[in-house]
Amino acid sequence: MSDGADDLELVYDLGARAVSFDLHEELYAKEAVYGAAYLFVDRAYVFLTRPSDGHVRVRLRSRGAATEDQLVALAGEFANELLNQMVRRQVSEATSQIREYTLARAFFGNDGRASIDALLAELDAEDLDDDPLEIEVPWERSGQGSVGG
Amino acid sequence: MADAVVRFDRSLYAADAVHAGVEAFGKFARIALSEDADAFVLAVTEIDPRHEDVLVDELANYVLAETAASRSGGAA
Amino acid sequence: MSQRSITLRRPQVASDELAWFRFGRIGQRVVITNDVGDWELLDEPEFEDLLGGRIDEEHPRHAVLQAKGFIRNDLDVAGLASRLRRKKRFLGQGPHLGIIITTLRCNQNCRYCHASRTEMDRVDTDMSLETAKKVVDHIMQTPSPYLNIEFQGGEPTVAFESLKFIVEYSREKNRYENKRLEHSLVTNMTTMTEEMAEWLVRNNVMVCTSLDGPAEVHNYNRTWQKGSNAYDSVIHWIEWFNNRYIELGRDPRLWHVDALMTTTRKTIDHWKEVIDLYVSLGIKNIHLRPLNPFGFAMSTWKRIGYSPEEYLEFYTNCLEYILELNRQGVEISEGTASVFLMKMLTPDDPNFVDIRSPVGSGTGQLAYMYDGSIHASDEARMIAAMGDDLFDLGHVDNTTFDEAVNHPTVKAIAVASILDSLPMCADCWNAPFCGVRPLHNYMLQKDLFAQRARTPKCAEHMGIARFLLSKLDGDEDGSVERIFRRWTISRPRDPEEGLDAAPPVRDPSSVESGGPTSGHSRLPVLE
Ligand code: SF4
Repeated sequence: MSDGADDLELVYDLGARAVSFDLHEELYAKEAVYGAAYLFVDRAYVFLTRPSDGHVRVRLRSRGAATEDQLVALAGEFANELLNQMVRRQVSEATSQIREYTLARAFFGNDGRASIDALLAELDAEDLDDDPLEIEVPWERSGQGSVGG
Repeated sequence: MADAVVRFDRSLYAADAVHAGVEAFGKFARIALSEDADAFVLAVTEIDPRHEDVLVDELANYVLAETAASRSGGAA
Repeated sequence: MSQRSITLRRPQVASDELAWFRFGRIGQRVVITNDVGDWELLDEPEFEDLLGGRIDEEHPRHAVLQAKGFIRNDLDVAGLASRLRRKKRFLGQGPHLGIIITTLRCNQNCRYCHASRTEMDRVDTDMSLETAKKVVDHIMQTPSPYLNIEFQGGEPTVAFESLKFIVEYSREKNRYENKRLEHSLVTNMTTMTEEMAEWLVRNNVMVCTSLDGPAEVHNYNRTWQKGSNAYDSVIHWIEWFNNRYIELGRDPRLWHVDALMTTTRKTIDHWKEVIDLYVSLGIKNIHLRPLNPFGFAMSTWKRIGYSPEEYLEFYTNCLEYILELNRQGVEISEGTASVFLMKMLTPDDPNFVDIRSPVGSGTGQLAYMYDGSIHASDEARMIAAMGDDLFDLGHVDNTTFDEAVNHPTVKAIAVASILDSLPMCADCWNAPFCGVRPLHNYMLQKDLFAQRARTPKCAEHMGIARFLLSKLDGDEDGSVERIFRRWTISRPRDPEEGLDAAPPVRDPSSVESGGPTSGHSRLPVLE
């Protein structure tokens, strides 16, 4: 495909109250499986087993009775989340160095003060522009204050 | 739900998560933990009748979430 | 059992072309965010173009994605670093909110109040002036250049002498501390007198009250003594204060009573009337807050509680209506939305202690009980009142300020609320705007970290952020953004406006402990 996307065929078993995926760890990294599973524990009962070396079986059981359509939808959402998790990991691996460098520069860079002061001055000047109704500060945010525990 | 035995595969579940699950759910059932070569094995008996239907499933979810929390990796 | 299959389209990721971002989905759109709080909503093909490194100069989204730092080509790392420093400038500043519980006595018995309160004859739960002095000496050591001393209770006006002393003494002390010092009082107004009110106005103590809605709702939530009407009292005093500020020539946009609302099931049923009431009273900001879902008997929760989904539906109904009112020229904003919007639309973080990373407990706020015990937050002192001292940081008699803010408990709470290190949050597109509440988690799941997917706060914050970004996304003519931007404008009051040059300070030993004993009530459990 010209945009470089691949199609992945994901097979699952559809049971009475559950759907189960057999995932090959070479294609679906365990971290991605955990990441997706974590997001589903409030919606379904999730259980992992090892049907054979290098494979993880994920069973998602609905919390109550579920129609076939609901189970198919659950399977679809899980599959999408699995894909998201895989892409996230790829993006993270590709960009974590840039991020670390930015964080280091933000919090440990020795040229920090001078540039932040200039930036603050510049941005402060913009802050009070354009407020036709002049809504005032909510009291809990006046200055930097706030309420609550 | 009647008494149950749940096997948490060692290569998929973290020991700390299994222990945390036993502790969190121990007040609702008697949970005996044993280990074999492949798994942490929980024998769950005397389940509090109020939670009978869901206890084993909730326990398994809890252990999975604890495991995932420690293993799903950093930010993306 | 049958077999089915799903075809997943796995996009190409061009590792060398990307800058760092998080992503997620809002309806059919992909939202991307970065550490400085920049965000963009893309459709799927645009997102695939981004991932695949196909955002070249010809691409319609190139300019915006490049400017916001989502693509690597010509990435301005120094600019991003500066903006990040600005966003996180609250780090290391120390607590800016000092909550002082001057008494636990209270004459109301609110349905949702499970904080400690005592009956009106329990004068032993008033803060003595000696303790008050030590508390001021303690909190004023904060390195923060801004300090808001907030009075809570019980009903703080019941111990009015302590309150007055704290205001006067802290102001005196501030002559050499030179902080931007503000005072605020959270009161239910039921024991307010004209003498107290005049003193509060003259001394620039901002007044915040609780108004849960029309009489039927307010009086239902806030049980007072027989024959009294909490609603009438609160309305009377809101009007009194607001008129008085005007009489004294103060700018009513800066000087007025604010009101907090705690949502019960009854409020949900009357949401529109609640907002109309706030508008009719000239209140410019309504802060919608859900109930803390813990500490209730099951039977009480069934009567007044609701699910996170029900709360979100209520919240979005209210926000749609508030937006509509704004379009008609009515000045009203919503507090939680304003906090999120400030993070989404401005270069700053509002430093709202409950929605930041790390949470403000111990690092952004401290709470002092009437007896001088120190707690990481208002919530922590409520947990202590329920018999659990896990979040106590010591006592003003024997714990220095440094010991309190460097207490291992403060560190544990901070670690449990740094979103970058929390599973699910670390990956969540909402992380630059969100904040978790370890003490809330502790109350719900006996675990500071809890499991995010199951916390009502996560559902609430995700729902609110989604709603706001969807509104901005569909904002063809820019009218929603103009309204939202107004909600983020911060116009500080001058805390010294109209004050005499040198306030008199009394020697604590010359005043008897305790305050007036006329009746009062407990203020809302602040979220
Ligand atoms: S609490 Fe929920 S919404 Fe907030 S950052 Fe964490 S996962 Fe996202």
